[in-house]
Amino acid sequence: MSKLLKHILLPAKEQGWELWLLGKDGWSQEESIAELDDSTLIPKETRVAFPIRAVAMVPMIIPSTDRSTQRGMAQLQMEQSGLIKPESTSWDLYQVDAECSLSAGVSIVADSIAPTKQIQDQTFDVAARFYEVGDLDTLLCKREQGRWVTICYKNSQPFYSELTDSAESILRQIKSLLTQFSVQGIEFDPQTLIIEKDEHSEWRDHREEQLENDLGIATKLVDSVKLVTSERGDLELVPDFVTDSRAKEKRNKKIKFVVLACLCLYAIGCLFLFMRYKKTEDEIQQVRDDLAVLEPQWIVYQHHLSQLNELDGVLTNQWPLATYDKVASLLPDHEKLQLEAVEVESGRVLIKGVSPNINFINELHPALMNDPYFNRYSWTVPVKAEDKKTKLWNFTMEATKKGGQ
Amino acid sequence: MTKREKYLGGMLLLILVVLAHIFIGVSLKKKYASQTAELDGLQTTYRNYSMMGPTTALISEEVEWVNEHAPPVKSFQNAQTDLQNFLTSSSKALGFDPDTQKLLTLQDDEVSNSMYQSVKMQIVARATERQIYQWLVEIHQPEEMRILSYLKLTPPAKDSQLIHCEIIAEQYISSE
Repeated sequence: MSKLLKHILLPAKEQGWELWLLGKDGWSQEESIAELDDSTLIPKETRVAFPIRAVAMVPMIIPSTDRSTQRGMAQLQMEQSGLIKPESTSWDLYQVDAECSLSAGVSIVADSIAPTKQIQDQTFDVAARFYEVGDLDTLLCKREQGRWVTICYKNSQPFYSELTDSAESILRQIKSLLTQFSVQGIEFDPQTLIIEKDEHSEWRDHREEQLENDLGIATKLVDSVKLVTSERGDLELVPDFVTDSRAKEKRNKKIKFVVLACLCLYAIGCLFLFMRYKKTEDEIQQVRDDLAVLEPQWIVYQHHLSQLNELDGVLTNQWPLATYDKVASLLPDHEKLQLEAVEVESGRVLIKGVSPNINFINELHPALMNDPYFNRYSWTVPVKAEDKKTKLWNFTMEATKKGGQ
Repeated sequence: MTKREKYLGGMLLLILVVLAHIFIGVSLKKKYASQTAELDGLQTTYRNYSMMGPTTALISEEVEWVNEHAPPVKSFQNAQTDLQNFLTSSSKALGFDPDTQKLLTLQDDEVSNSMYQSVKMQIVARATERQIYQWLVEIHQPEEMRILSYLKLTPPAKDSQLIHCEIIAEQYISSE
């Protein structure tokens, strides 16, 4: 048994299902379930075992030991028989007898179970694989959900099953099956026929003796069939509705994940914007605090600047006679070049004069420009004009302080 | 509620959410822009404030000098009278009389919100070079907040010893 397998849901004899629990003393029936629906509570990791009417069990002789080859051949055969569709997941294959290369393919063919939320989380199997019949080739006739079924076992593994019309038709059906297996080359020599008692119909006396005589097989009438406690590997037998449901659930999970990721990104984006806003607010507050500290000094500073600005005429005023004296000292020839007027005001000097020739004027202009006293002044080109009568040159030179002051 | 109604309701909700986000986004953008502008303005102000340190050191001597020689507190009319009397009396003391005198009117924009005002007087005089020089020295006294803001000298002609002088004297006073 699978380590995780603790519960198994088997078809009841007449109606519904039976939930069995694997305990220390073996299997024990835990609950009878009339009908499976969304309100039915089924423990997790329960193996849901389909009744014979819901599956098709096909014996196959596959002379290969490679698992993928076996599956490939089985799939081809079952597809050709119309039991499964390509890409279907509702079928599986398991080996019955390695010596005679006998395997059994199982596929789900009928909706025996309601598509409930509890069912889609479980694993699936066939009920026939859990009936204890012994190691010999055996035939088992029992009732599942109100129907007689006949199951053929080899090496305690079922390899063929089918529905049986009634208890009276068991003999005819078994004879037919044995002939069929003989034709197919399946080595099946049943040593025992186990018949489970039907509580709802009277079993005629000596009926099993008659069957034993007719078939030549030891026949045993039992009240109920025990369940195997030996290892049973999982079958990859998943109903289509479960596959669809799981795919839908997977898709929904992806959508949920994407939505959640988007929400996370949205939240991170909002957080980022909030942090940036908060950071800017903090910076504003910090600068305001710094400004508040500097504000008194700034007011005093502005007051001083205003004072200096308004008294700029006093602070920057040069002694005007110094300018006059400097101009007079730079005259090239006092006797010949004469000043007519010198105007000095804040940031401006204007010189008017008379020269006997133009050379004196041309000497005076560079001398003024190059003198360090006037290095903060810019001089315009001298305006010169010759008086035709006196032959004297009148000139005007103007300087303005750089920067306007 | 049918599936179609649920779908339409969901779409309507989605549109409302998108519109709300557009509205909030535009509002946040405006808010952030104004916040950034405020921060930039404050930082510019802070930089200006920070620069006053070195400038304060540069102007400290001038500030100290101004504080030591603060303009006298006078009314504008008194200051005009005093300046006129001073210019006339000082020239007479040196032996000459001004030719013309003219009080320059104060311009409106110089008065508004000013800590100081200046009284200006234009005088034209003719005197010897020595007299004019002494007179100008007496007038130009920055420590007393009195300066020559304009000077025009015309040297003497060949047949004369008198210099023609035109000045504008300016007296700074504190507003009352």
